[in-house]
Amino acid sequence: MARALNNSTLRVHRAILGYRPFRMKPVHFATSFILALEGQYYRLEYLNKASVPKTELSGSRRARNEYSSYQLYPLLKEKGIINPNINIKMFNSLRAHLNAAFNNDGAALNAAFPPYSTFGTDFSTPSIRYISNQSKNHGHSGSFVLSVLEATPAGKETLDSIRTVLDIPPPPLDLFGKPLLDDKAEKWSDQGCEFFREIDQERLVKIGEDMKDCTVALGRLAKNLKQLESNYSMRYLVIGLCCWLFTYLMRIGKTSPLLVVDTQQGNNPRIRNQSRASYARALDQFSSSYKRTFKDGKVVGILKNDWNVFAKSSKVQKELDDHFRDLGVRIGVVQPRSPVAKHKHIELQADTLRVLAYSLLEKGQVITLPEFAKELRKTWSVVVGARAEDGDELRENRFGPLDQDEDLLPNKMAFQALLIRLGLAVEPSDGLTLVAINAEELI
Amino acid sequence: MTSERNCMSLWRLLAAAGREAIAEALTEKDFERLNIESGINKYLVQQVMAGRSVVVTGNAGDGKTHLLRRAKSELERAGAVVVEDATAEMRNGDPNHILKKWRKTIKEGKPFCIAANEYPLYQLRMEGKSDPHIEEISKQCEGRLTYREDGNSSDTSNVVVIDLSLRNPLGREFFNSMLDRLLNDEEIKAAMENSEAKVVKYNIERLKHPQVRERLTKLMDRMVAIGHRATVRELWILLARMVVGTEDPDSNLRKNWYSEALFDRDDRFDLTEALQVVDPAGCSHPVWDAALDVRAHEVLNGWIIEEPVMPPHPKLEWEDFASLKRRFYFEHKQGNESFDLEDEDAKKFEELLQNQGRSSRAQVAELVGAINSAYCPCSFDSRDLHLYLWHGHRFHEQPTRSFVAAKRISTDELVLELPCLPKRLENCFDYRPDHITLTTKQHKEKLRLRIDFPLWQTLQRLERGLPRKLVPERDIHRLDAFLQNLGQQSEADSYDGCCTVWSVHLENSEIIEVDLSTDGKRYERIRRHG
Repeated sequence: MARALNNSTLRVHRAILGYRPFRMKPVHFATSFILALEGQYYRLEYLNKASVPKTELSGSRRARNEYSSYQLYPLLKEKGIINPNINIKMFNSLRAHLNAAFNNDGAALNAAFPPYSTFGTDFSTPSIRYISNQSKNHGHSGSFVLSVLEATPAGKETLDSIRTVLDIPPPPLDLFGKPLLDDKAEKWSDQGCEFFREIDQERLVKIGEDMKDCTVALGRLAKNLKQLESNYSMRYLVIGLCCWLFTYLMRIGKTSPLLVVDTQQGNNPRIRNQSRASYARALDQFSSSYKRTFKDGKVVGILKNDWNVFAKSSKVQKELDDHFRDLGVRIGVVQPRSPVAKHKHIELQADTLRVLAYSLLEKGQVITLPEFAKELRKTWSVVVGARAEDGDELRENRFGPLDQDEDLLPNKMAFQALLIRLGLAVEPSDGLTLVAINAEELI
Repeated sequence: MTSERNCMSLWRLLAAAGREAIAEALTEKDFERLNIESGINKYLVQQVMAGRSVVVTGNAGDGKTHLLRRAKSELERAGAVVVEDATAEMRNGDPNHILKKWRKTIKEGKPFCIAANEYPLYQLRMEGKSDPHIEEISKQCEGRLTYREDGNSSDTSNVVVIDLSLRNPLGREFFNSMLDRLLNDEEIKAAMENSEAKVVKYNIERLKHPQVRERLTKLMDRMVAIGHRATVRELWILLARMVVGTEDPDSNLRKNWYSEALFDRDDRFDLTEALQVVDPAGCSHPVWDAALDVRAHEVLNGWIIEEPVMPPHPKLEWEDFASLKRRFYFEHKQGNESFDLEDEDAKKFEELLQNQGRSSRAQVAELVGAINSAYCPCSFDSRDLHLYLWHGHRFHEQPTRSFVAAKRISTDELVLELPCLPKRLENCFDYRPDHITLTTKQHKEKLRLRIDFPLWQTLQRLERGLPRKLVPERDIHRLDAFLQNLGQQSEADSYDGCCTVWSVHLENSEIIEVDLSTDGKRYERIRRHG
């Protein structure tokens, strides 16, 4: 029964979404995407063993447990990875630091080699040398995004720019784990194809066309990151890719989704309520999109039996909700992050806003705040109250009532203040706010 | 118009004015009364006489249009074409009309003078970037300030940009000129003769007193030092309120006192918000506060004009206390002690700006230590000897668990610099620095961390143990960007053929120094710090 559910579920996810919607963090997505893009991986056995300190297992397993310092320490000395002068106490310190550096995304890093059975392993990849094939929580989402990008000329151009970001000189973190890295890369085969088979080209092109604006924005982000050569380029790129995916999820639910950003941190209860409502609606539209799609018969290839199995399972519904919520939270779009918080709202975190700004502005370009807000709305579906038409649009979408002076204007002002704090905007004169990537230097 | 208005009409109009709704209500004569003669007028004419074009820019209310309007006839006599307001001259926001006019003027060998807000000027720069004169303007806009290490060479270009936003009207000299103009105004003098103008008499009498004036100027100095500025327009409105009050002019309410009007919050003006920071009522002094609260002997005497009427309640209500404390600061002989116990940060920053602080080397070391503590909360020996270029990486929105550095810059390679006006603007107006920079000496391109008062305060708090998660985003962004730029220009630290990595474990509060072999394939040595 469980197997039947699993196979049916996979087929339905493939037909509607294109990948399996696990509870996924950006680190999982990053592994999947970079694996698919590079087509190779590294075993990273010693990095995994050194950065996941374990106490000894009892009994017969002890002899094989190289996660224990007593086993690993002599092994790495013998391999020439650590100098014999380094004592075991220092070695243990090093392991704790490696763990903090590379297991940086909250329980992403697990023991991946015997005697432990792997539950999946992802590294906070500072460079492409840190990609292993042990990741399990991505549901092949990265392969899916890559396939969509490869399907259109705009997507291909964006991928070219993304490849240049991966070639940026690696940050200091790359050097820290270097002795534990493998010299040779292994060829990676996409198991996503086995689970899902290849998605037909026509559908990929359709998705690619529907997502064209976000794809172009992603390409712009990559170009800017290449020019900035930031240590944080990989991070920004992954957040940007995840924003693309999150927008894709919203657009499955509705052609023109809308998220009301609460920039006042709850100080205005009316804005907070509408922000919560916009999140709840986007979540509901995504969750119910499967049902609508099946009923509308828009997607071919779903067998009625598969759908019946899928539709009867409460587990899969929860899977969809969790996927949408977790991705939104972890990319810094949805708040609060606590799983027990019943009501979530939309609040862009600093780095997420930076990524969105980098995706909408060319280097050297200066635009006014309403123009920037217009682009944010058009591409990333977020509304901050900075456009003259925001009030009308919110009303038409049944968000409200919100007063221009009491609600939207303070929200705009708080958003503007955030942009200024982040160095993305300046307010030179006459209350005009100008937005640019490096606003403080430009104007 | 003016003659039809009541006595003190100009000052009442100003006191009641909003942020924008004032220029239209003033006559040429009014503008003339408000004009403060400064070196700029003379400088402007000199530049044009020398054949240079002039761009006057700055914030709304800085007096750009006023400056050009007053000098217009003289400038035109010198052959210049004058555009008083670029925004008004642009057609549907299109700068091409102005650019065309500008090119024609230059072709005719005449100087061109224009007043433009920042954004219209930016639009002109973008649209006309192929023109040599616009290119020069962009160059000057990018280098509005210079730093002592830059050499400050004179330039011979045929265009000059005057940025009035660099002139801070809160500066001592300009502020005092405005105050003088106000106190010597004929309308004010006439009002002093009028027995009914009680509020004006009360306020003018005090504002004329040397002690009140000195303490008022000191407050403005403090505002400048911590990075606040005002436009000329804002300051006139504030001064007018200090004379005529903010309430019904016929009443003698406390609200109308100069010391109350000065700190009266008005959401339309940033200046009134900024003044809250230097409000004596907000700075506690246990000894004087207690003395004022119980009306002790030492506060019953020592007033320069007259002892205030103390409320009869046993304990002062907050409003009564705040009002008394403000008057104490301005009018009591020992009022200058009001700020004795305030946070040292502002004082230290002011000393630094005036270059009276500790030696630069010690100051750099202190700043370097503070920057390091934004990333590494544990103390270690060389924390103030090197600036470590920290990097923490994660994909999701939560803070990183560790920072790693593979490069560091010696404190000896860093220097503090004070900004000043470029040589070309030397005689134009006084500039008072509101920031310092931490600058690299050795790099090809000089990299600067701009340290204004908010960042300075953050760094001081970091030194005292402020956790990173409480550091404002703006400051973290600024520090990250500086370290990032330094990293791109610096070589990795190496000695004896090894490269070194420093790692901070934020949960364990531990820092380790790890030496790697030259090829990076072996951990050679690990040392623990902190």
